[in-house]
Amino acid sequence: MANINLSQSSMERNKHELNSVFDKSLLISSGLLIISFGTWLGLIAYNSSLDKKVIAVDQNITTQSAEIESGAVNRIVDFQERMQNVDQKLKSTDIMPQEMFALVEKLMVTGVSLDSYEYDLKTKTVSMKAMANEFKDIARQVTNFKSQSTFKSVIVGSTSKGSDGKVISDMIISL
Amino acid sequence: MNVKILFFPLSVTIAFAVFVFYVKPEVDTVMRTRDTLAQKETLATDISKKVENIHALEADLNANKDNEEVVMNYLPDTRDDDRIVDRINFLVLQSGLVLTSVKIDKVSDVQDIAVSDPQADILADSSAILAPVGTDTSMISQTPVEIVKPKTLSVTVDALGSYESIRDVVGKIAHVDRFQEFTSVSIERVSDTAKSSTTDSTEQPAPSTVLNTLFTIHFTYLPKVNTKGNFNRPILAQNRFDFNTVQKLKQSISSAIPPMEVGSTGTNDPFLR
Repeated sequence: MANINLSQSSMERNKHELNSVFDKSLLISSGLLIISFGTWLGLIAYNSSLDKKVIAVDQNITTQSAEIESGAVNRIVDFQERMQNVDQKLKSTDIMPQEMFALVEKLMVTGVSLDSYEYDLKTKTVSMKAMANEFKDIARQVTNFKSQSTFKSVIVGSTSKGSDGKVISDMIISL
Repeated sequence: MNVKILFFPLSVTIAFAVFVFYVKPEVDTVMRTRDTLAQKETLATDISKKVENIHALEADLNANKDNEEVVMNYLPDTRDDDRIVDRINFLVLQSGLVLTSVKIDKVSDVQDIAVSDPQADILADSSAILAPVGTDTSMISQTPVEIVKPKTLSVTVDALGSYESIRDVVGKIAHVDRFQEFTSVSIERVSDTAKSSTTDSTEQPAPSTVLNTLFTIHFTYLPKVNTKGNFNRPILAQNRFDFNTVQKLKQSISSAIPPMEVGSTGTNDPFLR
């Protein structure tokens, strides 16, 4: 049997190893390129599908918007605005003139009458000119007004006796 | 072999460049598109809900036309001066007063201002507004809702009569079927001079029971509200009206006034007395 040399020379072995390393790096490089380009193309495709969805939703919005009649919306909003304004008015807690009349009638002292009366919502005051025979009657009247808790204050202005002998007093009630 | 050596670093560089210059911007675009899509989907859902609500609210209003009429009558969209004069005249005469003058002034107008309604802003945040296709909804959602301010007419009434009549008419006007507010009421005893001049000077004249009253009432009207395509209104988030206010209003209106009649019309000479 002839002798066969199966062992490789060291040079050939090195060359083979080098080829193996190059093959691996080629594989990795190709993989990297495929992944990067693949990701890019995948994202483009995904973005395109998202754009299509956006367009579809836009069309849906347009279709539904067309269903809304601005006349109907105006009528609804207009009615609601009116109701809100009415509601605010109904909730008002100001003492109204007709309530003030009832209060003054109830609080008038015998012997005292009014010469003039002025209700002002802006300043929330009621100015009166009261007339009586005696100063004492005016004092009693002021005391009675002060006993009313809904009045914040009762201020007495000038009080004097006129030529007819009647005592006239100016009063301002704050509400 | 040389090409093989260069291939690995070259491919790494290309891959890096692709990631930086193509993949990254594309990822940003995807993120933006996803946000836009999410916003538009919310908007579409909201519009769909609003369309349903609008149909329901309109049906509710059609079913309660009498309530709508009461509110429109109470707070009309025009000055309606004729109705004001008619009502004042009717109530003053019914109370037994003598009407001497009615003066109507327009209180300075408050300009309609565009303000953001807090409730509307909440809806706006969820892009609850209709947006034309292709527009940036985030910008439109900040569109302020125009609030129409009520306008006021100041009516000054001068009349003569007894205290009872004055009290009666004030009470009746306060409950008339028109949005109003008394701003002032003054009552003064009518001077006795005219009376005493005709009587004996030695005789002390009895104090006059005739009073002169001057009262100012603010009548309010609200011009028609126009949404101008801005549907960012809190009411559209509901599917029915709360008519409690109308019920309260009906209870507060107690002064019944017959409808005004124009009577016979037409003349050849408008100056003929």
